Amino acid sequence: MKRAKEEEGSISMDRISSLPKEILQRILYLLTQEEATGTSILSKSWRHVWRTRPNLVLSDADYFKDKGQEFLSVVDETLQGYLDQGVCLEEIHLCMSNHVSVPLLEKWIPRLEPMGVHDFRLYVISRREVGEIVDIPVVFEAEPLTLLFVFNCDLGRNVPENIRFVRLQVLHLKNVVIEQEIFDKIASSCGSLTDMWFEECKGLTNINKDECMIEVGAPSLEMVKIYGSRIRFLGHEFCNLKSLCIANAVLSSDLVEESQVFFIDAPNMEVYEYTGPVIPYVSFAPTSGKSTLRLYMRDDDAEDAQSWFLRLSKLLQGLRKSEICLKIFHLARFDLRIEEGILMRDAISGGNKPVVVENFILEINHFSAFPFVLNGLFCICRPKNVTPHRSCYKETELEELSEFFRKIKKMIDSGNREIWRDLEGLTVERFNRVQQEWQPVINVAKLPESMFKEFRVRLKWSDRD
Amino acid sequence: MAAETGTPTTLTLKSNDDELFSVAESAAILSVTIRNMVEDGCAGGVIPLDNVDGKTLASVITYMNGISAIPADEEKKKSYRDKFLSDKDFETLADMVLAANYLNMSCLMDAVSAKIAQVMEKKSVGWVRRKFGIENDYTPEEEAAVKEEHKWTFEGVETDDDN
Repeated sequence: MKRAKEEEGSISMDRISSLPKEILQRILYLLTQEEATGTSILSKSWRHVWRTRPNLVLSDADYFKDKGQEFLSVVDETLQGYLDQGVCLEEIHLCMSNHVSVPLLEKWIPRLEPMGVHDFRLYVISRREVGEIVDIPVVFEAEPLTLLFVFNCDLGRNVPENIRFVRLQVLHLKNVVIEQEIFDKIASSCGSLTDMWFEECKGLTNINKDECMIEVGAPSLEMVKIYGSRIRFLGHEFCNLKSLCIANAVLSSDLVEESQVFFIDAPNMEVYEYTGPVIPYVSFAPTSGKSTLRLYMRDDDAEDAQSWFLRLSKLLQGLRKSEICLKIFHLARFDLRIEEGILMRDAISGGNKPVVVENFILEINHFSAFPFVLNGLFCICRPKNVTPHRSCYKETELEELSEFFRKIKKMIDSGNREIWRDLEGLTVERFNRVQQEWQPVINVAKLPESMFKEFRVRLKWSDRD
Repeated sequence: MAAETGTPTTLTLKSNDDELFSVAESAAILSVTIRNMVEDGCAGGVIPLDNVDGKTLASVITYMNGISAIPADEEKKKSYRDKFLSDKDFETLADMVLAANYLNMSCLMDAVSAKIAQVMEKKSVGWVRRKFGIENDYTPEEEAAVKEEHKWTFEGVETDDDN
């Protein structure tokens, strides 16, 4: 049915230029703005085709850096072109790092929706060290806004009357000073929000003592990342939440103010990451996916190690159906004292089997404290892999490390029978970088030259689920 | 008219250079143009496709058969499309996108548009002109004026190099 292939290169007719406009628009849609605009120079018939593609992506960085006025007139003329020709503009992405561009927003934001825009992404990025006030009430009325990224800005003190973020899906505020009232209004107006990032933001009302309080309430949320703020989760149902990352943030709930307990119902959680000085309690139970916990153990915690491990035990129980990776930064200068029997009883209360922890990493300054931490941990969970970490690596410390591995073995032989009776096997392993796999180290007394993080203890338990 | 028996119906398509092709109706109706003809009952005899030549039509039919054999799995369909278009030269792609437009097959049109866009990506003006046979009908003065008008686009871009 097929013909023999015709001679290539025999046709030099300019077929592409005569393609119908809607095809050219589809092709140009997929190019960068520079490439699309650049087609204007191909020939006369191409001169204005780029002005009809359904998307516009402009940034005042790169070429327009220090050419604020030129950027203004390019954006202005281009948008005016769409308007004059009655061409439908569907998507517009604007990146602005210069205050000069603000009048543009005032002029064009109210016109975007009538022009057909349904996907407006706005990036406001200040190059200065925080504090540039971007007081642009018109942004809050941008109904086609789907993404708002603000970096290094002060959003000002004027609380907008209306916020119309009905289409907003991604809200990313980084190093932003924002009135509590403004944030609350934004949060309550975004019914379609799926991704919320909140990094190192401060509230004006309580700037001296506190960070901004974030109230998370949108049930449409799929991803939440919060670094360094106060958070309160409102409502209990987050059926769509797949990823929750909280680092060095203060959690509070509407039930118990100031407590570190927060209850949210997120049955579809796939990624849970928590980094912080205190142990939170979660009431959600990821049924699959991964949980990554990074916890600090300080002097206070070490003094009351018993309750610290109890809280950790509760947290691990809550996450037991996910693959848990636990990292503890041991910063305490004291030895730990714990009642092993009580800890163990709690860990397996209600017929639960001890929680399996896929990877346990201990960042520690003195190996001498390691057995104490480990003992507490073995009371409440079953780590499959234990990796000792040191913040700095010295060659002589390889000896210390082998000493440490020997100690673990000894500890198991002579320690609390109840803790260790379920342990079936223990191997010291080293990561072989060439073969990309973990291999057992036969002679623990003489470890091969390697980085610390390339050693681990692999434990086999008889009672894990 | 579509037969209501269990046997698959076959349509006969005729290219503008008078080549005849048989194709299963179930595959051919990926084209909204052909589907409308079938629904209107004018697909009984030979369906003349005045805007498509035989070589292109053969390609389009290969695509119709290939894609309709894949069950509803967007990933697999996409990888079939990628593979199908991977060995096509630019003349063929231009023919196909026109045919897809005429036959109203949006999935093929999108895929070919993306392929043509890929060809244009990161290329110099001179290269694009030669590749597509676009004749530069600007006078040097006019060309300079267009460049000046969109300075921000052409900054640092060589218009005539060969890469």
